[in-house]
Parts: sequence; structure tokens; C-alpha cells
Amino acid sequence: MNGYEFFIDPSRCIGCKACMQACMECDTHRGRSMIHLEFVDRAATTQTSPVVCMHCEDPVCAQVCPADAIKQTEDGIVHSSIKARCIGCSNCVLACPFGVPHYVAAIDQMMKCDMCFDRTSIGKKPMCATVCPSQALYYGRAEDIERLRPEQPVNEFHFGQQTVRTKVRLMSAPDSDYLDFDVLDYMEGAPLPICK
Amino acid sequence: MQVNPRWRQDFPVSCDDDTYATRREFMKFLGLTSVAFLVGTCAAAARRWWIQLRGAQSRPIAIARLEDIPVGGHKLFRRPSEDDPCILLRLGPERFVAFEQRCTHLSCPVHFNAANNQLVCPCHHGFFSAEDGRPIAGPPKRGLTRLAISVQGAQVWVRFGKDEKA
Repeated sequence: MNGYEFFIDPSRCIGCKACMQACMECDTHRGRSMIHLEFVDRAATTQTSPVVCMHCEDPVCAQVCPADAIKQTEDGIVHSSIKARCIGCSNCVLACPFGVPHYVAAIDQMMKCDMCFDRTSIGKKPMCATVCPSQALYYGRAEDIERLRPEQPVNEFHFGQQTVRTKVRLMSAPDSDYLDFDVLDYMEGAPLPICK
Repeated sequence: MQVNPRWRQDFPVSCDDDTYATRREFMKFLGLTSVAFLVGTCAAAARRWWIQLRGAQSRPIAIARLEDIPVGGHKLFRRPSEDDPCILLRLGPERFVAFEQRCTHLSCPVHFNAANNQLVCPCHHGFFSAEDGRPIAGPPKRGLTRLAISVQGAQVWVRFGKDEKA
């Protein structure tokens, strides 16, 4: 829509949670935030990272949904589960490599970030991107962010042998075309990949 | 490149594919819906025909003694089952009529107003003639079903099934 894309730069996140508060204001999921902050390594640093849905080109959450409840629109937005279909099995919660879907037990339904579809579909910015004071969440044109920032936007992630391409881009080191993750790096006792 | 399995075509991830109805699917829906309506109509007609046939073959039943109902009075009864309320009216010394008590609008029970010689449905103010059950005013468009009755001896008899005179 308007050539605008969503960019996340975790290194800019200051942990203010303004994005979470703004997300709660949204009419489509009033009072419940679809974005959350992850602590990178809570014992060692206060650094946080905002987690919004990356809107995979081939969404794993939808692929593993046994109830056919998660749909992707033509513009690449992967939506929250359809209430009438969701059976609350949490398959999507377990399958998502980014840890985005959230099972809400009170309504027995999975809910997730839909990039403020009610806003972005009419040309407005997502709530979180409008309030982020450090622009860790940025919604704009790719050429603008390339001009303004030294980091490289990346939308290809390798999780072991699984390759995931996303609509949302993550700002990464210059000249990096993709990000490589190995589950073993994140298991207990493993050295922190950030320290490698 | 991953090839989608056959079942994925029936359960696509894409919102547009999920809501897309092919011409063949639409025609199948139309055809099956039409057949369902046809079967339903035939079943309803067959049921009505069967009830009338059974009523015509049933033996008359005494429902009231003449001295029990004064002229201008009425008596409620339930036949052929407990779910079928009926009303017997005495319009004159020798004149009795009986109707199903369900209003033909939304099945509220109708009540006899002897002063106006009418059957009145209080739910939506439907009015029927007590003489033959035809609708006079209000929402009902069909007359009340009239039952075949006869006076034999000192009793009023009813035989279930639609009165052919009505």
C-alpha cells in the first residue's frame, strides 16, 4: 500500500513500551497488545527487542493450522485467526519461528499482529510505528530508510534448513543478505550468539 | 520450489482463494438447494395429505354433550393429539362449528367473541368469522381449518380431517 514497508531495528529499541500501549488502543483488539518486547539477555543487558508479526510470504502458522483459521490477504498481511474456525490448539504458537502468535485462553482464540490492517489498508501507519520515539519500528518507503540509515534491511531468515521470507524487514548489519539462526545456539548452556 | 499438496487447494492460505467460488461450485450450490426445497415441499405436502387421509378414515369421537355448551358458548379440546388445540362453538340451538384453534398467522390460539360472532387472535389482532373461519381483518390471510362435526343423539361428534364443506 503506497509503497510503504515495515522495518524493525531492535538496536534502536529503548524498552519504553509505547508501542504496546498504542497497540492496546486499537479498536479491533481493544485493551490487548499484539506486540510485545523481548529481552535480549536480561541478565547481561537491558536491551529489548520489539516483536511484531513478520508476515511471512509462506506463513508457517497458517500452514500448520488444522482448522484453516489463519489467512493471508493479497497484500501479504497474515491475519489473526478467524474466530469461527480457531480451535485454540496453539499449533501456530509453537510453529512460528519468531514467537508471534499469542493464544488468548479467555476467548480460546489465537491473536496476532495484523499490521493494523484497519489502518494500513486505508493508507495509515500502524499504531506502533506512529508512536515509537526511537523509530525502532518504522513504516515508510524502502528508499527513505536506505538513505537515512546505515543498516541493511533483511527479509530472509534461515532457521536450520528452513528458509523464511517475510514482508516485514529487519535492519541488520550492512551487506548482510540474510540472517542465519541455529536452534542449538539458543539452547540452555550455549554461548550467546550475540557474543560470537 | 515446494509444490502444494492436493488438499491445500481445498484449504488455501490465501484469503482470496478461500472465498473464491467457481462457477461449477455455485451451480452445484444452486442445484442442491433447489432439490432440497423441492424435497421439503413434497414432504410437507405428503405429510398433510397423510394426516387428511388418516382423519378421513378415523372414527368419529364424541367431544361434548349438548347441554354442556349453551348457545354462544364454546369448548376447547385437543385432537387428534395433545399438540392440536381445537375449539367447538355453539352458534345456535342446532348449529355447531369446530376449528383448529391455531391462528393461521403465527399459531397463537384464537378466542371466541360471541358478541361479534368472531374468533379473535390477541397476538396481532387477527379476526376470523365464527361462521366459516374465513379471515376478516388483521395479518392472517388463510382461514382457520374447519373440522367435520355432526350432532347425533345428545352429543357432538367430530371426525378429524378437513371439513369438505369448509
